[in-house]
Amino acid sequence: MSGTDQSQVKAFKKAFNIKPTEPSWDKVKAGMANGQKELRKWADLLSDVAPLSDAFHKVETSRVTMEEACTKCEELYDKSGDAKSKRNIVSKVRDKILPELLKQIDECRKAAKNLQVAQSVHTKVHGPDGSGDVEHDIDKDVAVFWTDIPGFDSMDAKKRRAVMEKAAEKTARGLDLYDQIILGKAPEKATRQNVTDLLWALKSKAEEKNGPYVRGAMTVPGGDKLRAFLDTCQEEVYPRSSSHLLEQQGKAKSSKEEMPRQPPPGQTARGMDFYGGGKGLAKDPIDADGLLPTGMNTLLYQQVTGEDGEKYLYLKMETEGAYGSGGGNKALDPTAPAPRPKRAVDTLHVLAHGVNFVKSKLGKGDSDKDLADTREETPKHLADLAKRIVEAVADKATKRALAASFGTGINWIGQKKRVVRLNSFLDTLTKLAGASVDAHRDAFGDKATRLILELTTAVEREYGEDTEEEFGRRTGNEVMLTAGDI
Amino acid sequence: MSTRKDYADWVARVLDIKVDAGDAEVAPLDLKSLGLEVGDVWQAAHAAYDQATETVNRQLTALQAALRESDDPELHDIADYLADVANAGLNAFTGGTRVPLMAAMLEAGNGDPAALKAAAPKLRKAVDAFRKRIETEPHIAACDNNPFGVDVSIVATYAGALDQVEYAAGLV
Repeated sequence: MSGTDQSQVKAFKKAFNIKPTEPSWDKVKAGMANGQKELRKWADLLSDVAPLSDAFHKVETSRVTMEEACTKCEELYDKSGDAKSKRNIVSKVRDKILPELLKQIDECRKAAKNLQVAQSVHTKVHGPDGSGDVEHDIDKDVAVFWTDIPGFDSMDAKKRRAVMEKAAEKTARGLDLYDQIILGKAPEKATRQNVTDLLWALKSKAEEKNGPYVRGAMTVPGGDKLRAFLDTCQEEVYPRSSSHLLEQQGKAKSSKEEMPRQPPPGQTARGMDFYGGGKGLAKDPIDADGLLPTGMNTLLYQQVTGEDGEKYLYLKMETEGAYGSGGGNKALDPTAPAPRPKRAVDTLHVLAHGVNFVKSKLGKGDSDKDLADTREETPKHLADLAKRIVEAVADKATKRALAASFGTGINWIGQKKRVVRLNSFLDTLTKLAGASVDAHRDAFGDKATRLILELTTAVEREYGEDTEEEFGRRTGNEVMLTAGDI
Repeated sequence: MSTRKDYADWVARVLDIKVDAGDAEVAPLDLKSLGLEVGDVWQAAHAAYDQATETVNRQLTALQAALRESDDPELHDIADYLADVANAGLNAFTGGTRVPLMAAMLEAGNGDPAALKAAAPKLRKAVDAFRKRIETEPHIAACDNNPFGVDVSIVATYAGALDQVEYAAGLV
């Protein structure tokens, strides 16, 4: 930049008709004050929940450093005598201090939100007969993520500690329940409390594996047993429609190359609502027995079959229920549960669900950009690569076979569309031409092979190397829990 | 009579497809001899336009980065302005000419001949307006001729894509 011809720079500026803006001390001073306040907020929160953590150390260091820098600037401004010196200080704050402050806030907020707090839990639960007569002890170390607790950042220290303990207890009970279900010792009937315990536990495990998230999906092993258990919550469960993994539900577009139209039993979607924590429970995070993590109000669950033939459960917590959607699902799935009685508020929830669906398709859904993205949709850049691979293949039969591995989704105006499912796409590539670059070059051509390398490199970079079980299940960004994870 | 090489050059420039040239004088190539249909040409044109837009955005991002490297707050202001321009789909650069072009391209859909035929007059008009606008817009000229050594070529980047769109619209 120093060697640039200044007359050309002047002409460049003139083209944009830039007039120098008069910097304002009041504005930059207010910016510094707001920034410091924001840093203090994250430091206080971490000091309450994890004062010994690296995250707290990092945030506190940033806070102190930035406070010193801001104080120094204010002193310099007050001491400077002439207008030119004052203007220079204002410019320095605007161009150097405030951007650095914003950067630090960004980093501190992310560090705070991604914090995992270890809690030891010792409690008792009722036995598998559900009678309450038999109890057993639970001693577990669990991970709690404060971002799962609505309103946590505005609570006082005492309440924060209490609600963390409550969340840890629910998580421990849920992990114990998961073990009971997998061992065939599940309680006869699912209740609001044990369903939410289970979800706090599975989400905690998903977050341990993938980092905390607000909205997202996961798949869990033991799908048939978990689905059968959740189906027993007759006072809450209802069949519903779902725009997720349509081909697993037997709802893919009719085509020779696609999944069979009749899905295995149990694979249609079900829902359960948990608005306000349920009957008799206040919507207070401390009284979390009937509440889902991150203030979600409804659970969508679908049994799915992995490439390995194993049954998994696809779980997604959402903000709005979908009671009455989908027409019952009995025709496709004899195990589809009868719907619970309709409630007056159900229609409102379905309308809100529709709004959220459109928002998410427009990229305006509610999410937290600081946390991981765990939906099952394939990220756009990877989906685009897959499409470019198909485009680059010259042979029409190969092209058709690759395109047939795409699944079916729904676009934002409700029409069906083809969507990329990473696992089946990569699986088809391997089936067609093995895994060697030479074989790919013969089968797909040079250009497509280069793109395949680009795609597989990107997948490895972003997801790490999947185990064989994970590879068989992956459809996009969802968290795949294995038995080992839980 | 044109040579096959003339046509091969033309095909390479307009369709971005390489064909074997040779020197013999031949009749003009038609789409079928290239193994193409109208829809293929349209989709290639659409992709070329999208690619051009991506390229221009990358160029503007590089220019912004260079401007921000300086200590000159006025250049930072221009960088902010360029970021706004890029975030708003280049509307400030293209004036009222980009939206009609996008609308006509949407109307042409996947290049089904009937849809393309219906959209063709609007496409030609919109391409013409868009081309004139970017060739005369002073901010674009300033970016294309920037003194900071950043490779920006907005007019040239769009030129080939606009040729392709215009050509596709003329096929029906």
